Amino acid sequence: MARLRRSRIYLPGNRPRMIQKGPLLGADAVILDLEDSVSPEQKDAARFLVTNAIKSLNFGETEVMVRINPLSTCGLEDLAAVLPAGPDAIVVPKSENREGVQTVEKAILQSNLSKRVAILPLIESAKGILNAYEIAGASTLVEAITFGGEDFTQDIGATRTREGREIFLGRSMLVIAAKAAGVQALDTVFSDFNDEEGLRNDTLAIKQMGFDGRAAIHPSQIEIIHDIYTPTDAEIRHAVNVIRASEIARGKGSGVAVVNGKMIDKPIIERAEKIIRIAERLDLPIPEPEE
Amino acid sequence: MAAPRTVRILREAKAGLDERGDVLVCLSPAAENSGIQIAIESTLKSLFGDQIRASVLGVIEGYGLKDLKLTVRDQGALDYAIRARVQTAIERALKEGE
Amino acid sequence: MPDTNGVVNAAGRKVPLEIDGRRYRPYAGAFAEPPKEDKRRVGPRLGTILHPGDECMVPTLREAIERIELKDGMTVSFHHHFREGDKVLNMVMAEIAAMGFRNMTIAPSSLYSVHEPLIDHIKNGVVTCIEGGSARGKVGRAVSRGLMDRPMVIRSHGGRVRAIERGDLHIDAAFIGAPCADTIGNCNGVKGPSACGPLSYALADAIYSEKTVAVTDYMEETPVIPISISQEFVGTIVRVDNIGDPSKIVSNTLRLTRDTVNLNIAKNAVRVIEASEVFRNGIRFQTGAGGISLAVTKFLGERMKKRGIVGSFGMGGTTESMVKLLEEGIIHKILTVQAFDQYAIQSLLKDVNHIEIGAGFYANPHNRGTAVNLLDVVILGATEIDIHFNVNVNTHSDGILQYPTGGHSDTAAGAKLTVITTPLIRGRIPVVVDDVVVVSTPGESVDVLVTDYGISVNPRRQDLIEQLKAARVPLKTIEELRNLAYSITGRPKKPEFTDKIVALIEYRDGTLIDVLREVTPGR
Repeated sequence: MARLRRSRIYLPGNRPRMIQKGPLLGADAVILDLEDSVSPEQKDAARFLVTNAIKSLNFGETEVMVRINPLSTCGLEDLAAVLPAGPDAIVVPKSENREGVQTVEKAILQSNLSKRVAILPLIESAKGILNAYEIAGASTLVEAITFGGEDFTQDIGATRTREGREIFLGRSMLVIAAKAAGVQALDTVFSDFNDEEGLRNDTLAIKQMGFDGRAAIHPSQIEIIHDIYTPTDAEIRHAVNVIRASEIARGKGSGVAVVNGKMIDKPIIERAEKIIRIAERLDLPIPEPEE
Repeated sequence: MAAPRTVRILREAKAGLDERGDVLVCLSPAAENSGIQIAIESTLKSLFGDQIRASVLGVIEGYGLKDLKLTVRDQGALDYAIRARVQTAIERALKEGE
Repeated sequence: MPDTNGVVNAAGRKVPLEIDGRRYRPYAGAFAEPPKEDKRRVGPRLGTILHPGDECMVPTLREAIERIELKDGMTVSFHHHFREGDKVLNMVMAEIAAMGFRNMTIAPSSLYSVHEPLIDHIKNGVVTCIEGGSARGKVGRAVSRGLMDRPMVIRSHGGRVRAIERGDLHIDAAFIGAPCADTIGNCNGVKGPSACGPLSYALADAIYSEKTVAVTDYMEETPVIPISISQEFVGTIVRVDNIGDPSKIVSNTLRLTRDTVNLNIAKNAVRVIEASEVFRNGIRFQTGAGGISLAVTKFLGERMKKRGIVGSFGMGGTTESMVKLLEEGIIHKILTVQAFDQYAIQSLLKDVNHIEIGAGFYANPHNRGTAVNLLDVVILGATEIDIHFNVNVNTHSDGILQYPTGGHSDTAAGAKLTVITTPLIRGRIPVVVDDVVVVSTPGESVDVLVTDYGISVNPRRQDLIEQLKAARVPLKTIEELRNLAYSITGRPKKPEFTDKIVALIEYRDGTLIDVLREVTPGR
């Protein structure tokens, strides 16, 4: 099963105190950022700091991602510095085509690490969206493609709104491309971190669209995101019953199971299995099936 | 980190931010054979002064540097951050104006 | 010469049995030393009486000091309800110094940074001994660096009242900063420009001291209502321009932390409470006013509301967030010994279910009834906690005296569930350590430690471990937390001390739980 990536929190790569808080925030992943949150004259300092942090700090279960600078600027220097430290994933900003991903793949493979380093292309332009499927399939190291809403909005000349109508199609296309390529689709941040209700509604909407998680810009957003992306007791109970019913039906040789008066077919069983896997991963209580 | 070699610091360089959890490192040249002079300023000096010095020295020796002055203004930085800042200062001093 | 011989007490600390003319029994366990039945409470000598027409009021502080016949070597006491905004202690001590008194003992319920002028009084021989909560700021640093020949005595709130009642701490004159007073000596703390809330810490001083002086800057018609300290005990009243700096007495609003890590600690503390057997109707708790504590109060209230639990009372230092629980009907009552914000003061003034209690009512272990024994839960902090769950709240990790014990050891002993909340690391300093610098509260009265890196239960509490496991609360051993802390910070160098004892840490029952020594010069 793919890694759980309900939430990933951006941490500025040149601020030790923020980086050190990374393992304590409860996010599924931290993104140690070398790009937007680091001023041009501090890029070298951030590179050393992030590299040392990955080597020395214990991030525990938290996935450690590094957002490098675009390959067109100093992204390759970033890669050369941080790869030997062995991050879990590289977030590649401004991804627009297959070649960019393959450049990163090559750098990873040449670094001869004993661990797998995933590639998470960040797609944040019109061109990137149109090439999303090609990007998602460009390397076996790509485990998810991620959406960058702010830059995308600017690129297409739209205005960012609370409702997000301007990014709806971009988001949809990214989800479809990701799922067609068999990778996760991860969504952008919700910028107004004082607007908890807005974040909640927006996250509900993107979960319904098929996104597997989203980024956070403030730690307070993580709990709300997890709230929505964590199966509820009712969902888990239903999933247990679905799986039980399908097993009984299979045992009887009849292909049709029914739970709560509804027919259970393959997609429903698969969704139930996914919920149980997440529940197990998160050590949530899993009840016995009801008779 | 560069392999040990004898190199000289010829210009000043700084690294780090003036904030809690960080350390401000100032590196400057010193006369030949004057050795490595380290000054540490920290509210935690009585508890961590020795460790801060050891970390700083470790990085300097890794670069094979001999003569230099280094001041460290620490605000409770963890070891990894201290080493990163010293590394940054050295790289900047070696790189600038090359 | 301080006696450096001694015995190892039940907290594993070596303590002297006799020092500075005091005889001590070593700490033997939280409830191992009952009061002696042949002892009586002390009381002031009779003789200070008022005839019809007599005046209690005097025009100046000097006349007040003359009227009470203060002498060299006497003990004068103060309360700390004005916190950093206190002007009374400095004002009185300046006058005492100006009048040429020497060799005085001061017995403040606590000291703050604002009391820095004390250092000069000590250097000049005006003050030679401090019996008080603790010393913050420069005074604490000076004491730790051996400023005084005689050791300071550090007591908890309950321990201080016990010591006063038993005569261990004999007060010759109590100077009570009174935000609101009348002409015959009734006082309260809820009115006037220097309002601080209750006068809980001053109550025992008023009752048991030989002479009591109320120092006020605001008077109302006799008798003032409410009466926190009664005219029966106050013999002299003096009105001065200003007894406190309101902006430093209480906060207008204490803001809830936005720090996700601290909020997570608070949430986990509430998770522990909720999973334990004390989370039921009638729950009684104390939470406090620190950043994490405020969040605990809020989250606990939310969980109680959601689960339909109604609490009996909240206690201790009171804040707006606690008062909100009262107003929403989530708890029935509040017992207050100290108010941390304006909202709490206003509530104390108008809400009959919010009452002021004296420090003895609150925490004196040798009472017939002490409120801390009623607590189900208390949430407390720590500057250090060791692998035996001993807590240090008195010094920094470098051995410098800093904070008072307050009600820490009192509530920890009394409550069914004592929860310490703290980040695992502060700055670079590990909070969970092999050995604390001094033991303020013994590990036997601490049940759970909640940090940002995990939760640990005292192995004495197997019942609690079972309850938390059943609720899927992930637990670590305290050794695991210590190892984690050291792996992140490195092991700090231990502070070095000379042989000179600079402070005695008394346990609440009057036994000696630990001593603090002078920090080695140059360190």
